Amino acid sequence: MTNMLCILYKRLVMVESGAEARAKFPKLSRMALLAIAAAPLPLLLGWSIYVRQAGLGADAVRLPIIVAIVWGVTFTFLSWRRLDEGGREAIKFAFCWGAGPGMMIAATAVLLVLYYPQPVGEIVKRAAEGYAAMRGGLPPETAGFFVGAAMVIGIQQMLFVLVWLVWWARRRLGPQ
Amino acid sequence: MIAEATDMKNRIRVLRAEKNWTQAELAKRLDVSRNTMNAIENNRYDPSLSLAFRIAKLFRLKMEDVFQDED
Repeated sequence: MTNMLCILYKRLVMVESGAEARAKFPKLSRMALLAIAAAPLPLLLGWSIYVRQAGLGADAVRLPIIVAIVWGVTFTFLSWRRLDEGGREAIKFAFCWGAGPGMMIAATAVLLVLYYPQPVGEIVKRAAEGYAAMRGGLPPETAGFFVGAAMVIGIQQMLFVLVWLVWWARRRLGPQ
Repeated sequence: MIAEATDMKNRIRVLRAEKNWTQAELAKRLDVSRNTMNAIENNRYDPSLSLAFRIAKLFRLKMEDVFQDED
């Protein structure tokens, strides 16, 4: 099984260059990629409204999450194959030096908030209360979990984008 | 200083000028983005071995005629 996954990973992600991948697959324009990225959003939104109005259970809520994950993986795959080697290097560097440390910083921040609630803890608590009120009767612990998760992902993403921008700036800006 | 410098120098700008190609045109011929092409041309990004070979092949030159070590 592991062997199969390795072969699949090598065949699909690592070995083939962007040029080879584009020769095999139809080239996607930036707009087409954005359209693919945005396509499931109205569906997911519509489904969540329907679930709430019809009063369906937890299984119905899980469905869009599974759809979102599958779509996310597919989109990442399509985007990766579309990139040339410079673009891929920038992303690898940003994951290593941006998203990775971002996750560690965010996780440390969560622990600090848990043990030393003032003053950040108060802000998180208020955000969780606001989110709970917005979702109408969501338990405070669940709302707190969602707000915490959003913060961790947010910090991770911010650092990823920052490092990605620095990588490109170092190669595009300055005297030529 | 923000700009990154690589250990390798190349003659791509000169070779491209000889062919009268724009940077975008060269990027298209090599199937890379113009951003990547610009970074390579300005010695701010070392291309992979396979891309370096493709560049040399495109100009019908040997690799060492396009890329030189800094030392």
